[in-house]
Amino acid sequence: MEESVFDNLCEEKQFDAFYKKQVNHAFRFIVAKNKDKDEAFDVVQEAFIKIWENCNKFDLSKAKAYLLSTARNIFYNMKKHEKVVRAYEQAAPDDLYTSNDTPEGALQEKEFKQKLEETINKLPDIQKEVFLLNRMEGKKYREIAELLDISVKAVEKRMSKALLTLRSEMEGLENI
Amino acid sequence: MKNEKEILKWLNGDMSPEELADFSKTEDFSNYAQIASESEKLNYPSVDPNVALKDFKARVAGRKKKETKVISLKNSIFYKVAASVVILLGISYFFYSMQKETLTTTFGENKTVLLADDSRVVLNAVSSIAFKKRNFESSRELTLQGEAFFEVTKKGKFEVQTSLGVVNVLGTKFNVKSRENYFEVFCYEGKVSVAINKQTVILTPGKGVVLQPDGRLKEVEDASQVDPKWLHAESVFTEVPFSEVLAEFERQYKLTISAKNIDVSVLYSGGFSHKNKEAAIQSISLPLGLNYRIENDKIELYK
Repeated sequence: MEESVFDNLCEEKQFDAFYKKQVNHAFRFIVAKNKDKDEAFDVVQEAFIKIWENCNKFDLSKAKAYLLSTARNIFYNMKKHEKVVRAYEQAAPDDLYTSNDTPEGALQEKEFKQKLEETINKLPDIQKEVFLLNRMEGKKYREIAELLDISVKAVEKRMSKALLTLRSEMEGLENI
Repeated sequence: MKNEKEILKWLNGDMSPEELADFSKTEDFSNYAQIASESEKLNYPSVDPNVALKDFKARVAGRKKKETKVISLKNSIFYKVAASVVILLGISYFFYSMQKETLTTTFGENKTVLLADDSRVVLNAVSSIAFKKRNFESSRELTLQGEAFFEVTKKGKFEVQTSLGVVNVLGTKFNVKSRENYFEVFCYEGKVSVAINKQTVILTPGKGVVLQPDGRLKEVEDASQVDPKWLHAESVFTEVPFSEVLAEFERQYKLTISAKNIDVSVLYSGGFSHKNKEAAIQSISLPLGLNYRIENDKIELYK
């Protein structure tokens, strides 16, 4: 379903579809910043609540960008106050998190993946964010710039730096 | 990175098929291809959308309970409260109009006020007057903080109250300066009576008084003036403590003056213009052999 299909997020059916489509994008985006899954999930739920409450107050064609930047703001506000306010002190449902482990694949490939993930996680937050938005979310630099409220030049710079680090860290691990 | 631009273009999906074909033969491509493709499908955890949505609904439902209740306007207490508020506002406005009108000036500002009895008051910078709006003509009383020049019409008693003393006049022109540690009255026309610390002095034109640190009133005389210099954008002092000169300078130019290691109790005679900061600071610092440094809205005086 294309984003443009949504014409009214105040309508519950459309909102539910939007939620299901986007929840993992937002979740991965925050989890990449923060290893605590429960905390990341809280942030994402808060962001969706904001969307629901403001369902007619933003440009629907940019709903996904709005969701990500809202989640990002909530995340940094939480960090800033250094108190993780959990609106609901309930444990996440047992069947919430799903594993993406792929059993097949050469050992070498697994090793490469693991190292890549480790290296990405060690990147400075601002580089990691740009890199993952481009790679995992397939966003253009222009879109990332808009989302993060920075210039395209800055996005390219962060991207370059991330690539340089990855390239030198991954040296020799390729399985060609 | 050798071809930074090319690599960035490639990852942004901006390459044409031809460009891509060329690029895929380069070393850069072989270096980055796996990083690029593998990072698209990283093993970040994900959530089950259906379970997450259920959790979301539960949170929203919980949130709604916290929302402010909307109270129907009909017959509600809201109307009664609103009506009382309106009535209270009305009553307080009535009392307010019975009470005082206050006029204030800020740094470097003068204001001319024409009172109900046709008397004129000119406020110098950082000063205020307050008076009862109703029946001002029958009881001409006002309070002054700071400095003002008065031209009072001849209609009986006119009283200026300050924190330090009371000035009573008939019809006249006079200036009152009542600052934190400084009190001065000068009469330009008619007769002015100044009552302070149980002393009463009658001033005639060309005469004034300055309150001394010991509580005495010192008489000053200058028959050449028809009105105060500050009405003409100049501050003039005759044997006034330097601290008050600096305070006046700060009021006229809205800045702060630091005068560390300088005796500000010395008496200064002279003046400064309100129109040129640099010239003004020179005319108060040079006579006392002081140097100055201007930085934005700060002036430092030093020996």
